[in-house]
Amino acid sequence: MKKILLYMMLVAFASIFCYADTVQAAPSAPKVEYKEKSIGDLFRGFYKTTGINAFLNPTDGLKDSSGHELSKFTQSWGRIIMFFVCFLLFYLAIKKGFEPLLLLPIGFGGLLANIPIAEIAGPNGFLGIIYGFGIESGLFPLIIFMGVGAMTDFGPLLANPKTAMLGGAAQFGIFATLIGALALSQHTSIFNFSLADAAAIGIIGGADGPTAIFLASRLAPDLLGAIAVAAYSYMALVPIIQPPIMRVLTTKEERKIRMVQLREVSKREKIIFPITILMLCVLVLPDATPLIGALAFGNLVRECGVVQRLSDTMQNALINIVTIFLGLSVGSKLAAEKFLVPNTLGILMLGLVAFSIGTAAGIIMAKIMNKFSKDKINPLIGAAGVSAVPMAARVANKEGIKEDCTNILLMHAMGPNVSGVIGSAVAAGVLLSIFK
Amino acid sequence: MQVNLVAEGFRFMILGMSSVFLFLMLMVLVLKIQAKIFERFASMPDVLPPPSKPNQTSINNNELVAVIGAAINQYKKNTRR
Repeated sequence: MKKILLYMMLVAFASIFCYADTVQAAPSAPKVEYKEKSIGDLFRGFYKTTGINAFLNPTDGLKDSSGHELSKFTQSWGRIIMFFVCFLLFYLAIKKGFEPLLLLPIGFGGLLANIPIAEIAGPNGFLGIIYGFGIESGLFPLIIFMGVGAMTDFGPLLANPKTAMLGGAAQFGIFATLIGALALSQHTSIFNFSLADAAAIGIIGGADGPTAIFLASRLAPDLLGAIAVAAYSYMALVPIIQPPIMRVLTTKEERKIRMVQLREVSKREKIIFPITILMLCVLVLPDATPLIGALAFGNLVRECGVVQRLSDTMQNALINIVTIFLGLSVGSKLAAEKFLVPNTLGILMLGLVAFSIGTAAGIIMAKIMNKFSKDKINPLIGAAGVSAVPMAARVANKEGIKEDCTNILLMHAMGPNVSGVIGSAVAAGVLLSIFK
Repeated sequence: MQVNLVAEGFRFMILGMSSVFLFLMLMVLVLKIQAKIFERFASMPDVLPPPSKPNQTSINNNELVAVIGAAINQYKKNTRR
C-alpha cells in the first residue's frame, strides 16, 4: 500500500515538473542562432556596449525606456553635466553637511540614472522599480510622515495653541510662489508651467520634503526630481537663508521679547491630540488625510506609550529604510533629459523665493498678533512656521540668543514649527482637491 | 479660451490660505476647549505608566557587591583556619 502511494506521489511530482518546464519554455522568444565571429568582430561588438562609445557617439533618435526621444546633447554632454551636478550634491552632503541623509542618496540615484545603456532608472531597472513602487504610488512620503509623527513632540503646540497661526501664515509662501510660477510662464516664453506644475512648485515653500514629493508625484511627475532637489537643498540652507530675513523684518527690541513659560501638558492631552487632528481633517479636508493620517498614527504610537517597539521602529529602522529608497528613487528623476531644461532653473529660483516669502510671512504674522494680544510673541519664532523640523526652530532660537543669551526660544519655536507641518499638509490637500 | 493663469492663481491663493487658516483656527479652538476639559479632570490620575526607578539597579548592584564581599571574607576566614 505504501509503495503504491509513494509511486503515485512520484508520478505527480514528475508531471508537475514536466508541466512547469513547458510553461517556462513557452513565452521565451526564439533564440537567435549564434554566428561565428572573428576576434575583431568580438572586440568591435564589445566596444559598442561600452560607456565610452555611448558618450562619444550619441545615436540619433535613441529612445529611453518610456519612449521619449533623447537628443544627442542629453546622451553625451547632458549626462556628463549631470554627473557633475551629482558630485556637487555629494560635496554639499559630505563636506558641508547639508541634509546628508537625503542629498547623498539623491545624488547617487542621479548618478545611476544617468549611466548610459544600463537604464537603471527605466521601468525594469532597480531604481525604476523602487520609484514605481514607492513614489508613483505616493507610499514613501506617507511612511516618512509616519516617522515624523513618531519623532515629533506636539507638546509645545498643545501648551500654546495660538502659535499655530504662525505656521499657517508661513504657508503664504506656497501660494505666492504658485502665482509667481504662473506669472513666469504667462509672461515669458522661456518657462512653461501648467497650473498643476505651479502648484507642485509652490509647495517647496512649505519646506516639507515628503509633502513636496507627495504632491509633485501626483501633479507634476516630470518635475519631481527638480522639485525634490530644490526643496531639500533649501531646507538644508535654512540656517543661511532665514537669518538675514529675520533681522531685516524685526527690531532689536522685538528680538529680545521674552515669552511666557509654557504650561505642562498632560500625557492624556498628548494622546488625544493625534485623534483630534485627524477627526478635524476628516471633517474639513479629507484630501489631506493620507498625510495627516500617517502623521497622526505615528504620533499616537509615540505618545500612547504601550507600543514602544513600534514607535522605536518608526523612528529608526522604518524611516531609515524608506529614506534610502526615497532618496535613490528621487535621484532617478535627475536624468539629463528631465533636469537640463529651463524649467529646472525656474524651479530652483522660485523655490528660494517661496522659502523667503514663507519665512517673512511667519514673522509678519507674529508682529500682527502682537498688536492684539497681551502675551507678547517673539517675532523670531514666526520664521519657524515654515516646516523644516527642527532646523527652523533651532535657527529662531539661535537668533534670539544672539540678542539676549538668556532668552531660550527653542520650545516656543517648536509650536509654529510643527503646526507648519500640519499647515503644509493642509495646503497640499487643498491643491490636490482642486486638481481632482 | 485662454485661461488667465495669474488670476486663477490668485483664486487658488484665496481658497488655499483661507482653508489653511480655517483649519488651524478650528484646531486652536478645539485644543483650547480640550485643555479646559482636561483641566477640570486634572485631579484624576494621569495615564502615565508607573515611573521607572533608575536607581534600583545601582542599589541592587551595591547590595550584590556587599553580599559577595561578605561571602569572600567568610571564605577567606574559613580557609585560613
